[in-house]
Amino acid sequence: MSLMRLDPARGRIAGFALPRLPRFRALRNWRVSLGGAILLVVLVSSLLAPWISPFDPYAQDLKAALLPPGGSHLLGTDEFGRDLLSRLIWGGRIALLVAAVSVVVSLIAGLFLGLVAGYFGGWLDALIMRGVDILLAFPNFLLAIAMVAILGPGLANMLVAIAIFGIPGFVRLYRAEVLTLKGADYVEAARSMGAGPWQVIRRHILPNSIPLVIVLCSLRAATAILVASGLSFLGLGVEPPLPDWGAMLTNGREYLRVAPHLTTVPGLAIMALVFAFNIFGDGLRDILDPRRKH
Amino acid sequence: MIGNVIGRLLQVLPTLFGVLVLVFAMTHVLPGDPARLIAGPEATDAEVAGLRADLGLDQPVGAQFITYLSNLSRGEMGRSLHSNRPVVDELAARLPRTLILTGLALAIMISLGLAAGIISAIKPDSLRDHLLTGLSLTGISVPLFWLGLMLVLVFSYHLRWLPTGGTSSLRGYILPAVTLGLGAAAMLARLMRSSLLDIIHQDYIRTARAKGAREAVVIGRHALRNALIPAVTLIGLEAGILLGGAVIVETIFSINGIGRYLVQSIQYRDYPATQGAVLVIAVIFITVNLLTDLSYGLLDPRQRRGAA
Repeated sequence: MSLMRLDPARGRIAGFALPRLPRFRALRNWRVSLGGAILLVVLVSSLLAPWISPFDPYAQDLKAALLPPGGSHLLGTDEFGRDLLSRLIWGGRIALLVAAVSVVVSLIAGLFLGLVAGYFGGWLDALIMRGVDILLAFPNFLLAIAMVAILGPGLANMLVAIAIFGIPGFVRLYRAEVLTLKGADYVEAARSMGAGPWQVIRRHILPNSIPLVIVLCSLRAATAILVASGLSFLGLGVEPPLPDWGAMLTNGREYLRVAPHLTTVPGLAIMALVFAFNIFGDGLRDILDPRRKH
Repeated sequence: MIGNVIGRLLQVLPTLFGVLVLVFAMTHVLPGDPARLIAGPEATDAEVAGLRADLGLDQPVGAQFITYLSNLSRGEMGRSLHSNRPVVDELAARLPRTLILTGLALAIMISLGLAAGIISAIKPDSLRDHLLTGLSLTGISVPLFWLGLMLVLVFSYHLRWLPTGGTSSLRGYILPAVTLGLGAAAMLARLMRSSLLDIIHQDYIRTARAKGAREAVVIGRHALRNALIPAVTLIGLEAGILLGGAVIVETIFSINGIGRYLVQSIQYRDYPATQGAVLVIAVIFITVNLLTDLSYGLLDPRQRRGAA
């Protein structure tokens, strides 16, 4: 199942044919621009966290516990009197870290295994795909939970679990793409002109699969953030006092009646970031593959 | 058809074997010595060694795996370290609740997802299409546990319409099932919309319309049937998402199902229970996917002949 296929007419026969990523057209797509804008806000605020967050995210002030939004604490405070806005801004760092680690690991492992399986076929393909089948036989959230059960909770172990559980899906989709590209006329032409496998992969398969890879990465990031926050919510992920959105939500759960902002605010933050990655990926897919505009 | 069924069953065997190996391996890569874990911190070295021999942990890994398999075939999964009851009994007591929850969520997902997808696709770019597309995009982005808490806040605390949990009556399952089913419905709606739109532009649909068939017949009889094939694949895959999500939803709503059991057993480092719960969930998932694969034959006559 390939999420998208490139029009072979656009792939070029010779030269390092990087498909055009139409930059300006991309900005005219509301999904790309809205998703991109939200991502930019989270990225910039996370990077500037030490300068823009109004309070220390760890500073406790029990006299100011459970304040509602408004006043000097714009989004209110939690049960220890810690400023929610500051924790939210710092929490963006963890969310983006989770997304980045998951994307990079699935990308490297997924590209490598997908290429080997799809391009070379044979027993290597059979071996890799059976492994993928076995991992995909676990519901994906369960796989992450099982890995945390083995490794123990904590940010680092959660990152490992989320990075690994993303690989099998990526391999399967990327392998399908490699198979499609491998059968394209221009790849046949290059091979018949004597290009070796490495040359074909480097000059034709890799560059032409970039659009799919970008879309996959964006959607992967969205899933990773949801899974990470789910793990933290179950107490299997990020541990206190780190300002993680999922963990903040879990703490807030006990105060759902008296201080609903403790659950509403981090929940909205997670949703906004996941939504941004989702529509960004969706929009890019529309632009890069006009045939699948629906 | 029967050949097809047998073929699929045979294909499942290596996957099932792989799952068993992985679940078995879980305990062997766990940090710490399981025997010491069971014996407790105050046990002497001799007691731990005795327990290790009792549990067969001093045997070679291959022999342990064979013992594990033969125990499983007799329906034995060991005893829970926490409650000291057989894991099989504990799982069996909890399984119905998880099945009711995921079954209801599946029903919500299929009814809402298909309806929203079809309504969107019949009039693309209309107001209701944009509305439903926006809703389904939001639906796939909402963290499950947050949706659950917000539903509790509104329907249990403010409106007092529904209980926050409890499984004595079906009413207690409404909020959990809605929580679990909505996100999955959103995903199905998106797929249904796009696959129907792909099909509506195909020649045979134009032919049907040109012959003067009513729109309801064109969509209902011609388009929908073909659009359902990818939807059925997704329903199979989403069963996994629902089972994974059940872990979270059961925790929020305090439903004593297999998901909550899994989380608790991880927290207690109760590895026989963890192993058992993971295995049961994986086997349910494999079975659901097998059933969806087999159902293609009913939807798509080509599959009946092709794979037999």
